[in-house]
Amino acid sequence: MSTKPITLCFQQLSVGNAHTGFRLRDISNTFYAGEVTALIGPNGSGKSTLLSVASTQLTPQSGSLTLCGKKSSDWSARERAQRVAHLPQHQELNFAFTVEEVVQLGRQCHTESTRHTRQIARQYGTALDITTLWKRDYTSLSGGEKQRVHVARVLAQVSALDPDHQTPRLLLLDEPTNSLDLTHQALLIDKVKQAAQYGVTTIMSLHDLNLVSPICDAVICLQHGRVHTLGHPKDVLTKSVLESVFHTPIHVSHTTDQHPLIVLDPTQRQRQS
Amino acid sequence: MNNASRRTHYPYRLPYPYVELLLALALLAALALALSQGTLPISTHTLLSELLSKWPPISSPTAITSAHLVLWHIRLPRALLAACIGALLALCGTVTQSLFRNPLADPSLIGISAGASAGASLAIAFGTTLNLATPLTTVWGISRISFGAAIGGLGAVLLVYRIATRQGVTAITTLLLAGLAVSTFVSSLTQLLSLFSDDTTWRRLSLWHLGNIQNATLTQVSLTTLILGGLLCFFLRSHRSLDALLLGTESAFSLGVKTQQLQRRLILAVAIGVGITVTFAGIIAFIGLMVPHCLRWFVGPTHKRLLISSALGGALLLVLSDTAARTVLAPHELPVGLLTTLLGAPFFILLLVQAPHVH
Repeated sequence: MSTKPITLCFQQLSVGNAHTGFRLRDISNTFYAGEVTALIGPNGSGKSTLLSVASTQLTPQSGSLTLCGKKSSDWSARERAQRVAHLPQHQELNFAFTVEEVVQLGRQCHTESTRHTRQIARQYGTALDITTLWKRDYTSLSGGEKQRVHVARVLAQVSALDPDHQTPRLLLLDEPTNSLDLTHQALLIDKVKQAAQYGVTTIMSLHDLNLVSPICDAVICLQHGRVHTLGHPKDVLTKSVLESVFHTPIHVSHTTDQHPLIVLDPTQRQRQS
Repeated sequence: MNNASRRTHYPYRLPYPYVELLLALALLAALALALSQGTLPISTHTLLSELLSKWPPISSPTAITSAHLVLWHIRLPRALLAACIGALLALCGTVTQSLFRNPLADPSLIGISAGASAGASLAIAFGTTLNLATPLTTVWGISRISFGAAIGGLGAVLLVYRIATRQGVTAITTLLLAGLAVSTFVSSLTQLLSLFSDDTTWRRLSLWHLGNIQNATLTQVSLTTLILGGLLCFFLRSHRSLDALLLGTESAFSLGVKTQQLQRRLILAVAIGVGITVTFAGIIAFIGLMVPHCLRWFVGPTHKRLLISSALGGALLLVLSDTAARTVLAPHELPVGLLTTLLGAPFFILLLVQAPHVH
């Protein structure tokens, strides 16, 4: 693991101050190339804030952030955009682009021919199963279809700069499985894993804890803006950790290949109330 | 997929450059119409020979006919000014809609029209009390009302921008609310002033509010053309960033757009663009809202095409409206702003009822 190149490094990051309250406090972690990390934790625990900091949109009040070997402020906006793609939780697009045009927007930070842009967009359109919608009006799509279009857009954005995939790249996904059906959740997992094989580092916030273990190499569990637990999914997704973070009775069993399977424990809940 | 049951929503989209060419040709035809129509009709033959032989306009005043005077000193400046102002209004409308990420936004949302009205009212009111020269006295072809309007408009936009910007970040929702609040406040000021003004001033003020392009001069035309050229270059250079901005500031930032810098420049550009139109022509409503909105049906929301076709479409619409305004009830003139609103509002309501994708 340690021989892999480092994509992103947080050192003692804090967002907010003692006066207004901390949104993130003393976060330190290193993310390696090709590693998939899940962010879990209750609502308002700082998952989205952490992703905004990683995308360099939000500047931390203290601590330092090293992106692909450089300080975040040393990157030009364009060079950074070729390496880091951020999918926010909510999409605000309200204009009648075609699906194809939306996916192509992801390539605008690259200098390349229109033909190449079209090819790459098409490639990720196929990957996310949206080519049947290709010439459709984006605003007429359902929530899950829109989400797939935007996932294709960010994947296209960090698509390989060089043929041997040596440039470190970072994918930041804020609840990417939102409004996706089971088929397309599975498709998304495949694509994230596939990108990881090519060296793309992924950090994504997830509420569906059962997706964490099959995809992720590491989990960061946040609570009140601090790291509660950090480590391998099998060590973090335990009854004791989850119950202390979510304050609700949880039942953890295991699948045949030893992935934790997490459900709310309704009998315990009734007994509590 | 059950595509058959779902509507594709753009049966009208046309490939590049059909819409652009069509609009450019229509604009040329409209300009020819504007030059030939009026109380003194000028035949196509005279028009062509004047335009071709007497360029530049100052040279060889051998035979000054009335047609020559009307054409070079009245109709041509007026038609060109109408074209430039129409183009500016439509361009600024397009950009405002992208800035607010709302296809129904309008430049007046950031307080510029209300501010300009207040400025113009102040200029008229204080001119009368201080017994200065008449409000139509001009400096370089720009009247005192115009100066007041320009200062009022820019002042209001700066105030709105300052309110909505905290620690270097402009919140778009706050921008909208601040625009509304400032507009309402300065409108009340305008109304307060109108209570104390005499009938002549009051009438002049309401005429100014309705918008018109009378008394266009070549100075005004050159100044407007200069600003139009500058803004068009700036907007076209930023066309990709404008596309990205529609995804929201977070996504646009992730795509490498310097969102805060871009937003600030866009607000300034819109203030200058709409400011100059208000200065020379008063308030002409609906062009900035309608033209880009309709053209999105034909060229899509991608700015590279939308900006060019909006500029052409806005110019076309205002040249036609202005020609109609001065010929329909000739020798009386309708204020062109009144005409665009009278025709624009019902047309817009029709769109709202008909179009499925208007939110």
